[in-house]
Amino acid sequence: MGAAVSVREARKTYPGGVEALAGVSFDLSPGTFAALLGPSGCGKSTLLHLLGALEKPTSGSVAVDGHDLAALSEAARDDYRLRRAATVFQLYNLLPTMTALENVALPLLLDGLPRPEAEARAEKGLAEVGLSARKDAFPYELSGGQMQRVAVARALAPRPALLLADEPTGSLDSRSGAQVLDLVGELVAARGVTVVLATHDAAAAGRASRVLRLLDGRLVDG
Amino acid sequence: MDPRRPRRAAFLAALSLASAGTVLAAFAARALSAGAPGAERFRPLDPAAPLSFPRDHGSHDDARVEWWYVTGHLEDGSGRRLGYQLTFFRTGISDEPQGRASAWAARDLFLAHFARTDAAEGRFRYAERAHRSGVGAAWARTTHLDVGNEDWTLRDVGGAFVLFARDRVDGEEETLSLLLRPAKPPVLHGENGLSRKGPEPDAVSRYVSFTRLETTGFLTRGGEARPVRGLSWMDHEWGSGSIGRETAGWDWYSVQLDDGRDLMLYRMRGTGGETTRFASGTLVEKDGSSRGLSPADFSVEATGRWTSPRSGGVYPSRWLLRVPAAGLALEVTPLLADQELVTDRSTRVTYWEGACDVRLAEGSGARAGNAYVELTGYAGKGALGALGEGGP
Amino acid sequence: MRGLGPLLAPLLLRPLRRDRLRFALTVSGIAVGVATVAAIRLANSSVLSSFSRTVDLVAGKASLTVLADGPGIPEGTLERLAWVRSQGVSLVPALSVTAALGTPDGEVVELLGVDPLSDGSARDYRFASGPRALADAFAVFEPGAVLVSETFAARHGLSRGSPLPLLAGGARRSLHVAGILRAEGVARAASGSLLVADLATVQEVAGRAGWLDRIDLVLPDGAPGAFRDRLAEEVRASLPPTLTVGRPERRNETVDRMVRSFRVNLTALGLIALLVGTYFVYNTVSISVLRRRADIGTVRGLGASARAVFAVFLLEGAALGTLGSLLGVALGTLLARGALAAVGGTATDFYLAAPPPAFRADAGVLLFSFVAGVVASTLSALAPAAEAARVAPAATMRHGSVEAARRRTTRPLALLGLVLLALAAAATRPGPVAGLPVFGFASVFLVVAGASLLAPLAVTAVARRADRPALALLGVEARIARANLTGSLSRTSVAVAALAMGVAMMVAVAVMVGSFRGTVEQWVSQTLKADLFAAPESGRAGRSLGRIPQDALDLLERIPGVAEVDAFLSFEATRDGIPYTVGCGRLEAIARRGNLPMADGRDPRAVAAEALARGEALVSEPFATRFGLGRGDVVRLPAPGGEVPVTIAGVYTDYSNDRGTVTVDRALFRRLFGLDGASSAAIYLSPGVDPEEGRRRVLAALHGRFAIAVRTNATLRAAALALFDRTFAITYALDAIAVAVAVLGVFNTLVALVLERQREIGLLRVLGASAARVERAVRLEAAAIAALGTVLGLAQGGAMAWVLVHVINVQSFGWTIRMEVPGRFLAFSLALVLAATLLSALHPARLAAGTDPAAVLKEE
Repeated sequence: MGAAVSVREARKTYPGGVEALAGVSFDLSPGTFAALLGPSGCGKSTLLHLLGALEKPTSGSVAVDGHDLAALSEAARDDYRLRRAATVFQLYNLLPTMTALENVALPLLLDGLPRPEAEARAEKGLAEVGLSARKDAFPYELSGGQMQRVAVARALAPRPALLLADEPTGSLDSRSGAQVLDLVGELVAARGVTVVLATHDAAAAGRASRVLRLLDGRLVDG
Repeated sequence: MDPRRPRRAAFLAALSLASAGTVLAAFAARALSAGAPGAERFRPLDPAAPLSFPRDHGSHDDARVEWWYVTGHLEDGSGRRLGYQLTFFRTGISDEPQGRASAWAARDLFLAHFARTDAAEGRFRYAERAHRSGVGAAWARTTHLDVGNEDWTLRDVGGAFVLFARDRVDGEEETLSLLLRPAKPPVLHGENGLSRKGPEPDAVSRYVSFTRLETTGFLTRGGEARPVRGLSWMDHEWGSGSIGRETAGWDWYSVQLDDGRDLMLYRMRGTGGETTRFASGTLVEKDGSSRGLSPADFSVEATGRWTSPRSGGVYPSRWLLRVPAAGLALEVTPLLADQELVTDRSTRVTYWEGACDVRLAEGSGARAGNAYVELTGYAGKGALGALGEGGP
Repeated sequence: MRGLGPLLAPLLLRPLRRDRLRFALTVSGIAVGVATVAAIRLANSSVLSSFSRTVDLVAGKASLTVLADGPGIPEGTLERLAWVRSQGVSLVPALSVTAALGTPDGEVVELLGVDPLSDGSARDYRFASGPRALADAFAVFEPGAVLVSETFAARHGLSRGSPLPLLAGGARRSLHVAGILRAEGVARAASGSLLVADLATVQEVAGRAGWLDRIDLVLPDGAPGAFRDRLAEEVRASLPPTLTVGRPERRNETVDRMVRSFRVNLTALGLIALLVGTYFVYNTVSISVLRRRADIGTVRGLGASARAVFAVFLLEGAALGTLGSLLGVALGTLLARGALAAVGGTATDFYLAAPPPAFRADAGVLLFSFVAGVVASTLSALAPAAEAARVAPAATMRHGSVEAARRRTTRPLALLGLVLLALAAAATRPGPVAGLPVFGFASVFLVVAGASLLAPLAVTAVARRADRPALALLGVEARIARANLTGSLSRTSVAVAALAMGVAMMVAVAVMVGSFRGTVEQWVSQTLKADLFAAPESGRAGRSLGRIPQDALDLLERIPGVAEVDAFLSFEATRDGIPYTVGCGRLEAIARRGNLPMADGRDPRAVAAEALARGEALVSEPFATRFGLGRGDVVRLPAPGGEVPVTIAGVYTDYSNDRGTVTVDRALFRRLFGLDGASSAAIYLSPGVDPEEGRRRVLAALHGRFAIAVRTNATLRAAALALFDRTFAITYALDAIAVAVAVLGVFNTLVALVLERQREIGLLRVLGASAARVERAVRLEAAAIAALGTVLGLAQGGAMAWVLVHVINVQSFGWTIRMEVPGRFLAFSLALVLAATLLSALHPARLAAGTDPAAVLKEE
C-alpha cells in the first residue's frame, strides 16, 4: 500500500542564507504518482531529500503516513529509508563495485533477509525490469538505461511505500528515458506505491496523476 | 763541571736544555740532590780514583753527563781545507739502574752533532741525531772507547781511533772515515784530570784531551772518494755535578800551532757579558808536557762581529789571543763567518762552532796554525735559562 | 614544460589543501623510510670516519708504513731497517693499544706509544702547557708518563701531574699526566681520547715488551714518488712476508672490511623501510589521479597536453618525495645522533674496540638518503602519472571502469610475480661477490617484489571465495567490504602488499634472529663448560682489551680449589687485508673434554687429539667459509720470522667471531709467535667447590696486583646472550619501523578510500544502511586487508628467513644456523600487527560513518 504524504509549510534554509524551500505545503494520498516540475535550482532535490529523511526542514513539517519524519530517531529514519522510501537518482545510482544482482539484493540483505532469499527476490526484480541476462554485470558494463532499470529494480525490491525519483531519466536519451518511465509507471501502479518524480521534462509529467510546480522554493500551483 | 772548561760546561748546559722547562728542572734537581733516587746510579766523582786507560776513554755509567768531542782540520791532495766536528753526548735520564720490562725504558739519551766546514766551497753543513739507549741505534761502551749514533761512530782500535760519519747533502751521500793517531799522550786537565767548577761539593768533572791526533782517511761525496790528512783534537769529559748559575755563555779556543805546541783557552761570560773569574787555559808543549794557565797568564780580544741571519745572535768573529809567558800573540780568523748550529732536533741549543785560521799577530803575520772556536749564549737567553734552572 | 604552470593550481595545490591529512601522512611515510636509511648510514660513517681520521692523524707525515699481518712487529725490525736512514729516511716506531680508564666510567681510550726523539718528524704535537716540543718533554720518559689532549684533560679535570688510572694488560696501572697537548695534529685522533706516552711505558703497561705495531717511514722533504716506490720495494724485500709496507691509509681498508658486512646488512634493512615508505607516494598519487579524473578531462579539453598532465602528477610524487626526504634527512640526523651509542656500540663491540666515535654529518650520506627518497618517490609516481596522461579530453569515465581495467592486469601481474619468485629461488644458488652476499640480497628483494605482484590476485581470489561465507557469517557489511576491496583493487592490493612486506620483514628477521639465538644458546652450552671465566677488566669496552699476564695465569693455577686453567690467547691478523684471528687453547683439554663442537659432526675429542699429535690447526667455520679452506688444507700463519704452514685438522663451529679463527695448541702458538699470557681463561674448579666461592677465592688472590674480571659460568652465559640481544636490538627497531610504516599505509589507504567513496557511502545511507553499518563495513575491510597482508607476509617472510639464514648469513658470516621458528614471539607480534591495523581502521571507519549523505549526493 502506498504512503500518504503530508507536507506543511516546509522551509529549508542552508547555512549561508540560501533558501531552497520557502514554505511548501501539499498532501499526497496513497498511490499518487506526483510529478514535481521546475527548472534547475528550484528546490526539487531539497524537497526529495526532506521526503527521504536525508535532511530535516528548517521549519514546517514533512509527514509520511502520519509520522513527522523530523521527529524520528536516527535509527528510525535509517529504517524508514530501508523499508518505506526508496530513491532513484539521475546518475550513479549503483554501487560500482557490485554486480547488478548484488546491487538489487543489497537493500534486502541490509533488511536482514538471508542471501538465497534476497538473491531470489533480486533476480525477480531484475526480471521485472528485463535485465535477468545482465545480473552479473558490473555497472560500468551496462548502458545508462540499463543502469537506471537496475536502480528501479533495487528501489522497488524492498517493496517501499514511497518512491522518490530525482530526474531518473535526465541523462538518458529520450527512448531509454521513456522506457524507464514506462517501467516505473507499470510497477508502481501494480504495487500502489506513492511516487514523487522530480523532473524538468514536461513529457514525463504527463504520466503523473498530480503535478506540483516548484519555482524558487514555492509551489506555484496544484 | 769544571768552570775552567767552558766548552764542556756549554754542552752540559745544552744537555740540560735538551730537557728544558720546569719539568726538567724538577727532574734535574731531583737527580742532583743527595738521597734522591738518582743517588742509586749517578755518583759524585771520587777524587782519589786513579784514571786507567784505555778503560777510562770509554763510558762512565755512574756519571750523569758525558761526551766525546772531536774537531779537526783536514786537507785533500789539492790543498783544499776542510774543518770537521763530530760530537757524541750521553745524558743519563733514568736513575733506576734496573727493573723495567721494556727495552725502550730510557736510561740514557744519546745526542750527536756532525758538522763540516768547506772553506773552498764556502759551505758549512751540519746534522744532528738523537736516540735513546737500549734499542741499538746509539750506544757508548763502558769497557773502552766505542760510541755511536746510527752510523756515526768513534772507536778505539788499540791506541788509535777510527771515526766514521755519514750525512746526506742535497740527496748526495757524504762520508768521513778517518784514522786518528795520537801524537801526544792524553792530557789530564786540572789535578789528575779532576776539576772543580764551583763551590758546591759535587761540582766536579773529569776532563781528558788528545790535543794532537794525526789524521788520515777519506772524504767521499757521491761516488767520489778523496784522501784527506790533517790534525784532530779529541776531548772526553764526564761528571754528575752542576755548573755555575751566574754564567751567560762562554768563548772557547783550541789552537794547534805549526811549531808543535797546542793551546786551549776559554773565558766564561757573566749575564752582563763580562768575563767572570772563571777563565783559564792549558798549554801543551811539543813533547806532550802541559801546564795550566790562569786568567792573568793570557788575554783575549774580539776584533770583529757577525750577525746570524737565522737566530739573530750577534757573535764575535775575530780575535787576538796573547799568552805573553809563552811568547804567543795570535790572530784567529774564522774560515767562514757562518758556522752556527741550530740543533732543534737534538740538544736544542744554538751555538757557533767553527774552524779558524791562526796567524802571528805581530811581525810577519805568517800562518801559525789552526784553531776551533766555540761560542755559546749569543743567540738569545735560552742557553742560560736552562742553566739557571738546572742548578742545584 | 609548456602548459604546466596553469595546471598546478587546479590539479595539485588546491587538492593538496583539501587532503592535508593524507598528504601529511604520505610525507611522514617517506620521512620515516629516508630517516632510517640516513640514520643507519650516518651512524656507520661516523664510526668509520672517526676511525679513518685517527688513522690519518696517527700516520701524520709518514709516506710509508710497515704493519704486521701477525701479532705485531718485533722491535728488532727497526735495526733491520736501519739502512734506510742512510737514504735520509726517518724510522718512526709506534705501538698503540686500546685500553679503558680505571675511572668509574671506564671510558675507552687509545694509548699511543711513540719514541719522542724521532716522533716529531712524523706527527704534530703542540703543547698547551709545559714542554715546547715532544723531544723536550723529558718527563715523558718517566715510567707511566702520558700526554693528554686539552679536550680530554678538560673532560676529566686533569692537569699536569694528575694521576690517571688505566686498565690495561690485565692490571690497573697508575699513570700520570706529564703534559697537556693542544687539540691539534695527532691529539685530535680517536675523537680526542688519545693518550700519548713513551714507547717503553706503553709496552710495559700493555704487557707488550718487545713489540711495535707500526713503523712509519718519513721521507726527506721533496722526495719524488719514484723514490717512495723504490724504497717500498727495497723495504719489502728486506722484511719477512708477514710484515707489509705500504701507504698508511690501507689500515682504513681493513677496518672498512671489518664493518662492511654489518653496514651492508643494516642498509639493506633500511632500504626495505624506504620501499615501504614509497608505497605511500604511489598510493597518494594514484588517488589524486582518480579523484581529479574529471578535472583532468576538463583541463585536457581546455588544451592541456598529455605530457603536461603527466608532468603534474610526476611533480606531485617528486614534491612529496622531496618534502618527505628533507624531513627524513633531518629526522635521520637526530636518530643517528641518539642511536650512535647503540649502533657504534654494536660495531665496536664486535669489530673495533675503540673510543666512542664523534657524530659526523656526512654530506655524502645525507645526499644519498635524500636522493634515494626523491628518486624512489618520483619513480613510484610514474605509473599513476602515466595513467593520468591517458585520460581523454573532457572524458568522464566512470570510476568502475578504471578499476576494471586494472583488474584485467591481475593475472599477468601474478604471472610476473611467479617469475620473480622463481628468479628469487635461482638467486640463492650463486656464491658471494667480493665477500658480500649480493645475490642473497637480490633474492630477498625478488621475494618482496614477486609477492607484491601476487597481492592483487590474492585479494580478488580470496574476496571471491570468501564472499558467501563472510556474508552468512558477518552479514551484509562483509559484502560491502568485499565489494570495496575488489572494487578499489589498485589500492587495496598495494596496501595488502605493503603490509605483507612489513610483516614479512618482521617474520624474516624474527625467524633469523630466533634461529641464530637458539643456535648460539646451544653452542654456548656446549662450549662454556668451565666454572669460571677470567678476562682483563676493560671498563666500558664491549669486549675485553689486552691480555691476562702470564704470572697471573701461574697464580690462578696455584689457588686452592682451582683444578685446571685453560687459557685462550689470540691476536688479530690480516691476510691480503682481510682480518682474521689466530688463537690458541690447550688441545689436550679439548681432547679430554670435547667442548669444541665440530662443524662436520665429528668427535671433537678425536680431532683435537689428532691435531695435537701432528701439530695441526683447527679453524672456525667462518674462517673456513671466508678463505675457502677446509680439513687437510694448509694455512700459513704469520709468525714474526716468516710464514709457517700448518695443516687444518678440522673445522669447528664458533659464533663468537665472524672474522674466522685459526686455533693451534698453546705450546705451538708460544713457539711460533713468542706470546704468552691469555686473552681469556677458563677456570675449572675442583669437585665440590661452589662457583661463587671459587670466584671469591680467585678475586682475592688476584686483588691488588691484577685487574681481571672473573665471571661464573651462569653470568657469562647470560652476558653472552645479552650481548647477542643487544646486537640485534637495532634489527628489531628497524622491524618495528617497517611494520609501523605498513600499518600507517593501511590507515592512509582507508582514509583515501573513504574520501573517494563518499558518494557510495551516501548511496548506502539512502538505501537504509545505518552509520554504524557503514562503519562496520570499513572495519571489516581493514580486517580483510590485515588478514591478507599477514598471511601473505608470513609466507613471504618464511621465504626471506630461509634466504637470510641459509644464504646471506652463510655468505657474510659463514655461520651454520639451524632454522627455528620463534612461535610465541611471532604469534605475539602478528597479533600486535593485526590489532594495530584494526586500530588504524577506527578513524577512517568513523569518517565513513560521519559522511552526510545529503551533502555528498548534492555534489553532482
